[in-house]
Amino acid sequence: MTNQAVVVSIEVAAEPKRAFEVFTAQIDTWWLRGPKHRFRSPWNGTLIFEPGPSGRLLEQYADGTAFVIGRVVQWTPGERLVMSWRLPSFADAESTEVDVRFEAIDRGTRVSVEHRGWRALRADHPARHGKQGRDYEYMKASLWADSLGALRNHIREPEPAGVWPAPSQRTAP
Amino acid sequence: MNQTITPYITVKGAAKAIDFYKKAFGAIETAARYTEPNGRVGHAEITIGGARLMLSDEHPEIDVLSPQTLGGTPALFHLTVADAAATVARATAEGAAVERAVEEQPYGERSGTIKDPFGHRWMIATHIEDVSKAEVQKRVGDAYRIT
Repeated sequence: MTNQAVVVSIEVAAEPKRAFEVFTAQIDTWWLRGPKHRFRSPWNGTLIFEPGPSGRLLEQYADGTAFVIGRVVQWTPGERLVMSWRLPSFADAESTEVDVRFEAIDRGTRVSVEHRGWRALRADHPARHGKQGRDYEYMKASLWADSLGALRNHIREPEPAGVWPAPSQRTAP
Repeated sequence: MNQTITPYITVKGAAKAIDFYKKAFGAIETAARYTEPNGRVGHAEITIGGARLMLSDEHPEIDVLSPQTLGGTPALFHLTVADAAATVARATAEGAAVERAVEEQPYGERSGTIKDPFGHRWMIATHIEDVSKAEVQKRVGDAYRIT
């Protein structure tokens, strides 16, 4: 079954409002580090989420420059965050959209990410890393699984041993 | 497309099984879930330790049946974790049954086997040392010829 979008969900041990707050305000503390997960060389930037309906997510570097990953489209604390999502390899007109929903469940919050619009990227776009269709979808889903796993672990400290991702893949608290 | 192989398992109670795999193994749901109006799951996908696994509820009308209906399973999943004993403890707390307790194996793993509440079998393993073929041969004696 091929989906129009990458859909990844996870449960975190926090109320929706706090999960939303951690997802946005604390993004640099839980988002994984290194070239696989950060946005631009030299891979040591700091993620900054400017909150609010006209907010932005950007990665700021030691030399004072910054890369704007996306701008908020919908800002509903504790419920939903929709934003544009771009990579450094994108042309000006190219963009995708990330839709994050926060849904109360009995043990906390289900955080669901839907990342859509990547089909518009041409087949040889560098962001695809040579992957098309489901291969690309799986790659993106795997990256989001890494990220949301890190979010879950960050919220659930101290985490039980043996839970993925392995400690070596985790962001330092 | 690159060629890939992904296990696709059948469980009686897919929604509950996904919850179990999340609690026991830290699974993450990595695709949209397809649920019929009556609650039957037609398709779901989870990722455990970076490996994908697809699953659905039983569909008896097309002979898609689970180990509980079939009375057993011929396959098991080998899951590598940081601490096999801790993962097995968490799985049993969530309803899995231990088939073979976690112990050190001659090939450099500490591992054991469990049957999850849905009849699927898992070998839970932690790598503890690199062992040469010659050393494994020494440890197993005449029980196996290591090639």
